[in-house]
Amino acid sequence: MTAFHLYGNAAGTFLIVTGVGKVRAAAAVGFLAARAAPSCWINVGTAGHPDLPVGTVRLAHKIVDRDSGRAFYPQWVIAAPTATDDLVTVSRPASEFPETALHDMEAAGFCEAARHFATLEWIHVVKVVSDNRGTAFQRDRVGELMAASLPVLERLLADLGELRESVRDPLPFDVERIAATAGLTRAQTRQMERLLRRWQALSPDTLPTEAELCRLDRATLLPWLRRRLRD
Amino acid sequence: MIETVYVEEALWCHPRVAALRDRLGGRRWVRCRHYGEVFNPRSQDFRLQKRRPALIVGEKRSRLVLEAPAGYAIGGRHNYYFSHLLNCPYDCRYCFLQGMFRSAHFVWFVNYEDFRRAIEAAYAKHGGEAVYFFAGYDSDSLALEPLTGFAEFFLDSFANMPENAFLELRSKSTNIRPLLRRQPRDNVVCAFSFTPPEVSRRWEAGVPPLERRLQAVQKLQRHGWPVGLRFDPLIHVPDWRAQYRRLFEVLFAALDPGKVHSVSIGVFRLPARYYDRMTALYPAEPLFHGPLTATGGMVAYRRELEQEMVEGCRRMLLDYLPPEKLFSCQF
Repeated sequence: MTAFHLYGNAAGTFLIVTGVGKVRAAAAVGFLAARAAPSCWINVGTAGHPDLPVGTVRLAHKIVDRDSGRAFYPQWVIAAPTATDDLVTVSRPASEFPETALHDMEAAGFCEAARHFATLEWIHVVKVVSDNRGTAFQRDRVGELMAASLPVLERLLADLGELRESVRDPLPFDVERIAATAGLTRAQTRQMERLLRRWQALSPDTLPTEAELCRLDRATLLPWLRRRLRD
Repeated sequence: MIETVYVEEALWCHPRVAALRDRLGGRRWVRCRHYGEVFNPRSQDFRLQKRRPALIVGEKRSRLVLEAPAGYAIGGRHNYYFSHLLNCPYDCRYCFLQGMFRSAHFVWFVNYEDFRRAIEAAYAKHGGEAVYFFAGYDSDSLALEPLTGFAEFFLDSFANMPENAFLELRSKSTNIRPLLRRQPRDNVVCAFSFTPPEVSRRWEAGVPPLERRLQAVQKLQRHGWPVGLRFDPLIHVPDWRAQYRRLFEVLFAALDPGKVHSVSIGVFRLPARYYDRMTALYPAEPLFHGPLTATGGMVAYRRELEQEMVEGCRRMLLDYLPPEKLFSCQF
């Protein structure tokens, strides 16, 4: 029994059902962050809009918390897979739309929480229009509407995944394993990583092997790296 | 190419924003209350944003003209800088802006008239003495000229100021049309920054090749504009002496040294907190793992190497220029 329904796959993608409202959305982000530490966060859900037809899929380029006035701006460093729009998060369900924007109840809480775990390039909001001035919200259509968002969602996930790969600067070692073998503290592990990165930048052809590093212990590993870098 | 434009609500109908809307058309236009809402949040990734920078249009409301750091000078006693733009379209790996700003988006301050008033007020404080205003401290003065019309406006502004109110435009771009369209003025220095071509190709992404920039400088010099050359910062590579010697040979073979307004040399030196951010952005960048040392909260090349490079370049430059045209920016 947990507070949220959480689903995951082997590829490291998780789906958490937040429920309604920005407090639940923020809590769900914290819940998932504690268990899986995702690198990218997407809030998917329904929203009202005064004019857009029901079923229209939009990404948000600005999210305003109606209560606090606080604004969030997801950053587009990839091409947006569909059109983007303003979004207002409100605390109570509303059938009137005073602004020409998407209206939901979660996105601001989601963004407020997610920005503690990722930068704004990795935080996005996908909404399907569920109601407008002419059509009331129908709960029994939510499944069908969410299905309409899947192509956009899949494209967004793929593009963000590619982006993630393109900025990875991997060391050719399993740093955590070397640290565990030597019994390093967190601070020592960070020092070791810095020294190895320096070595990689200056002389990538002479990097030691992981096996060599694993032969050293807590007392000898960092001094050995420093000595070799001085040489 | 700019795909997203953020505009402060209050500026939506500003004439320069209207002109921008006409020019850029169907981009993603997003209104914000204050440019800082987009530019300042902590949780942003400068390196990622550099791939697809947005334009943020704002108004600079205070501190429009600031005193330049001590040592940032080309012969004047009173030195100021002002920034109509934050960030730059080029991606120079050594640039301190990567460590100073959280965002790589361009912030364009459109209230040029307020800058002009602040410049006039700063000039007036010095009883008619010469005052220098540097425009390329937080950005490139000319790189976004087609969008900003910055040079168009300030060349006209300085044409109406006393002759000892100097403007320095500093650039790596070749956008010199506004200058070629005007009669040259002695109180505007068009300064161009150079590093050796090998350094530029490796660490100055997006910067036009040396040959094209040199052609632009030549055109300006022939047109009669005072041009300046800036070697700031000097970048260390194992054969730095040979590379800088070749660079100086190429530049002074193409330019008339007698008509060069000034040449300045600057060192690679930046606050340690900027350096830490830059190495976090680019952990595998050899430039940040070179012969650097941290002293007094600043990171720079080792003192003796720094002096050797400054003095070595200074000596080479003295083959072409008298010492009174040569300045060393070390602050």
